[in-house]
Amino acid sequence: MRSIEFKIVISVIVFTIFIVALERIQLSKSVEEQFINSQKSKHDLLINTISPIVSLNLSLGLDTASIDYLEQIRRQNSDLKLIRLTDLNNKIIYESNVDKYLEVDPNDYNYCVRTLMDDFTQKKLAKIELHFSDFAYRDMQIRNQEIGINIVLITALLLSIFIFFLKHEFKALKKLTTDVLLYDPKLNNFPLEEVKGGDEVSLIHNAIISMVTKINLYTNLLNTHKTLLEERVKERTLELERSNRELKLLASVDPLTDLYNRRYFLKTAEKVSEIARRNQTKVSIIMLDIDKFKAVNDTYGHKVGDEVIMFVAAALKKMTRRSDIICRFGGEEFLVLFPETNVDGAYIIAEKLRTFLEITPMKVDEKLINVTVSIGVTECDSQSDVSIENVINRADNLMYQAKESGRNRTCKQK
Amino acid sequence: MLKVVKLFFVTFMTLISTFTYASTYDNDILNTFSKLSPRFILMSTQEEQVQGTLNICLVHNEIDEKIADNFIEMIEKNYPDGIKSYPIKVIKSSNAVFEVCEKSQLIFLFTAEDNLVSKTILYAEKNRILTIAYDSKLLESGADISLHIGRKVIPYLNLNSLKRKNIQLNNLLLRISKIYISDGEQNR
Repeated sequence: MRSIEFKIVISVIVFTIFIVALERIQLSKSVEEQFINSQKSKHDLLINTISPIVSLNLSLGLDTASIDYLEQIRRQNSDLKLIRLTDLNNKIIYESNVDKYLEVDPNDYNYCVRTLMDDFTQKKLAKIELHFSDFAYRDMQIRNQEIGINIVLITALLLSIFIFFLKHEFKALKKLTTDVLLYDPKLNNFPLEEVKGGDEVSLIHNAIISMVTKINLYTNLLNTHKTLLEERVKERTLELERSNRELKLLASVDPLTDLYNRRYFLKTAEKVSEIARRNQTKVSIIMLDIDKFKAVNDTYGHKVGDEVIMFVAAALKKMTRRSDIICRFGGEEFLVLFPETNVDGAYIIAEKLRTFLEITPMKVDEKLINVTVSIGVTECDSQSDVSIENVINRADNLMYQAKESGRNRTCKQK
Repeated sequence: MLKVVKLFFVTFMTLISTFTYASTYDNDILNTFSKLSPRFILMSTQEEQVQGTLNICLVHNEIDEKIADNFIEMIEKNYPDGIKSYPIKVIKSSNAVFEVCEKSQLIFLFTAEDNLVSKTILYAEKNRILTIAYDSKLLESGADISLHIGRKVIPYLNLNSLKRKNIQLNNLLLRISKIYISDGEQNR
């Protein structure tokens, strides 16, 4: 990649050489044409002047006068190489500079020929030929070459001056480029002194200074915004974590009763049973179902049904330990897992619960509703129970056994 | 005796030449005059006077009769068909009988005695006729044109007499000619 300076210099040099060469060629051609035309006119003028006089002399029989006249013409015109006067039989009447004469091209502009006529008899008298030397043409060419050399020298001088000024101008631009390249907004190391002068480089320099000033301003603003944003992100992250926790909780809790849901219970119960199996401790489960819950719904509506469910859930929370895991298993069914508790201990708690609900009627809209439950109690066997599902099924069977036995009772695994 | 014979011969020849005004004429010069004469008419305002024929009147002494005839032959030989579609008519006149020269545009004056020359010049001036003299000395007497015989032969013009007759010559003719200046003018 070449620099703009290099391209400008090369373009200007090529353009100048092209223009100067073109102008020189055109001018040379024009000068040469004008010179030849002028020479032709001069030659025509001379031969047109000579011809009638020689014609008259010849027609009057004054041959000596003609020769004398032609001699005079030769002396007066130093560029005349040859004057030749021949009669009708091509016999030479007069010829000048015989020794120096060379045969010339009849189409050469330096050569003129006229047939001399008698004005009165219209008879041909003779033929006169003039041949001029090309000294003037060569002089003109030498002068033209000298002018060409002068123009080339002047052009070279002007181009040198142009290149000097261009380099001087580009020096400022190069310094500006270096400053811009070294500029680091963090270091704020761009020289901010404004440059005086109305040239383009000064204008660009001042424009860059203005831009750098704005960059500094906006960098500070950006840093401030960044700090604020970081704080806000931190806040939002905390909020998000909190929300995640809440969401996680919502995913594991039944919204009506605030008890754990079935999915959370199964997952946790599996872990607890596994720990118990490893520690060789006892884990018991009770399954509880509200008696005649459909009748409550049908009689009092679903809203009361929900209140009944919440009433039972509250009783479960009240009657169990903090370490026990209570779950609404579905509809009006509840499961409670008792870690480090054997079936007898679980049975005692189940009975206390059942008795509490039996003797504690629920008050809804000035009405008292008796809520009873049927409970199945079982213990996890570390040998035979492969999964918690087996234990739950067993508890479920025991709970149905209690239902079938008349409801409001507790059946224990034997 | 020989001395007496020699003296007699010299005296006789001197008397002959004095009383007869007989002159010797150069044929080449006469031939040049025969070529020039019709052309001088056409190269001057005398051409305007031409009415179909170029009329040339030869004024001579009786003694030059043969020379005059010879001159006529020269003109006829040089211009057998006339010039510029004009036929040429040459008339001779001697002893100051100028009636025959009345319609002439040019009078050719052979060498003659002063009286005849004067009368001829006077007649030509009165009738505005161009005069050519064989002898260039006659220019001093008032002839218009003669030939200057030097290293080369060139026409010799008396501009004063031409001016008096109001005859104008072609520029080219003026260009190739020598202008006669009288002794009086030279002294001035």
